Amino acid sequence: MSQQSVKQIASRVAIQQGDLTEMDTDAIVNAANNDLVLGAGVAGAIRRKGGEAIQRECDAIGSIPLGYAAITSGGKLKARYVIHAASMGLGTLTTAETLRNSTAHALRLAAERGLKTIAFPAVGTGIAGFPMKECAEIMLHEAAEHLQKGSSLETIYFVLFDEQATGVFERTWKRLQG
Amino acid sequence: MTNGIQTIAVIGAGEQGRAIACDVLRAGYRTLLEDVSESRLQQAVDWIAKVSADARSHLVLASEIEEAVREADLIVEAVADEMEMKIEMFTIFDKFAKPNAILASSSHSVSIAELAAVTFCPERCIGMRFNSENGSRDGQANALELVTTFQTSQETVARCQEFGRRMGKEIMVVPEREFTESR
Repeated sequence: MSQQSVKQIASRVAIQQGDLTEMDTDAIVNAANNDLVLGAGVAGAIRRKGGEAIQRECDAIGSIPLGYAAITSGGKLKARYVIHAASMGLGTLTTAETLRNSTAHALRLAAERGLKTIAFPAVGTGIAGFPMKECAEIMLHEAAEHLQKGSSLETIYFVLFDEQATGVFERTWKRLQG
Repeated sequence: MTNGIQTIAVIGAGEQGRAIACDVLRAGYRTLLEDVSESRLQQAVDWIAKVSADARSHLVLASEIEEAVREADLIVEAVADEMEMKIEMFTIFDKFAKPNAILASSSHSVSIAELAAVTFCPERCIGMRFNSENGSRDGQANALELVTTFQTSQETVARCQEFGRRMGKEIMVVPEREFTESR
C-alpha cells in the first residue's frame, strides 16, 4: 500500500471520540464473539440500546467462524444495520489475524449492500485485551486497503471511547499517510 | 546556573499533556506543544489560557512531532499510556532529538527501562510523573517524581532536578524497580 494512495483516501476515514451506539451511519460494527452472543462492552451497549431484536437475529444466524462477520438490522439504533465482526470466541482472545480478517469481512459486507457509511469501535481492545496501538494499525490498514480497491463506502468512521484511544488512532492514521 | 534546558517539547495535548505544558510554561520555559489533532491543540490552548493567562506567550504549537522534537532540550511524552504507543514515540525522539536532549515519559505504568532500551541514549531517558495543582490530578501535592533506571545518568537526574526546582515542585527521585514494587 503506497503512502501516496493512502493520502488520496485520507478524507474518507474519520476518527472521533464518542458513543458508537449513537452513530447515525448506515451501519455500526459490533465487537462480537463468533457465537454472536451480545454480552459485555460494545456488544452489551448495542444490545441495551438497540433492543433484543438484534440478539434474536444473531441467534437465528448462530455461530460464525472466527475472523468472519455477520449482518443484522440495527433494531432501535439510529444505524440501519449492525455488522458483527467476530474477532474473538467466547473465552478466546482477539488475535492480529482474527482482527484483520473480521475487519475486512465487515467492510466487504457493507460494500456488498451498497452502504455509504460505517462506524467501527476499537475491536478487541476491551475484554479481549488486544493492544490499542496494534488494533489501530490493523484496522486502519484494512480500511485504507478496502477504500483503495473501490467501495460504495464514502466514509469509514472510527468512534473511540476516550481521548487516549482517539489519540492512538489519530497518530497511527497520520503515520500510515507518511 | 542554567543546565541547558531552555526549550521543552510536550508530546500529546490531552488532559495530561496540557497540564504538563501549563506547569512548564508557568516556569517561563519556551514550550512546544504537539498533537496530531488540531482541535485537541485548540482545546489545550483554551484550557491553558484559562488556568494561566500569561502562560500563552511562551507557547508554540506543533502538528508535526519531528518539528517539536528537533528544537527541544527536554522532551516529555504524554500520549496514551500504552507500551507500543510510547515505544513508537521514543524511537522518533531518539532519531530526531538534539544530541544532548533528555527523553522523558510521563507514564504512570509503563517501564522506563523498556522505553530506554529502544533508544541509543538510555542514559538520557527518565520517567517524569507530574503532580500538578492545576492538572488532571487535582488535590495532589505539587510534586515531580523522577523515575530512574539503572542506566539513567547522574547528569540527567541533576538536570531534571534543576528543571523541577525552577517549576517550584517538590522533587522525588525514585528508582524504577523500587517504584514498581511500592505500587
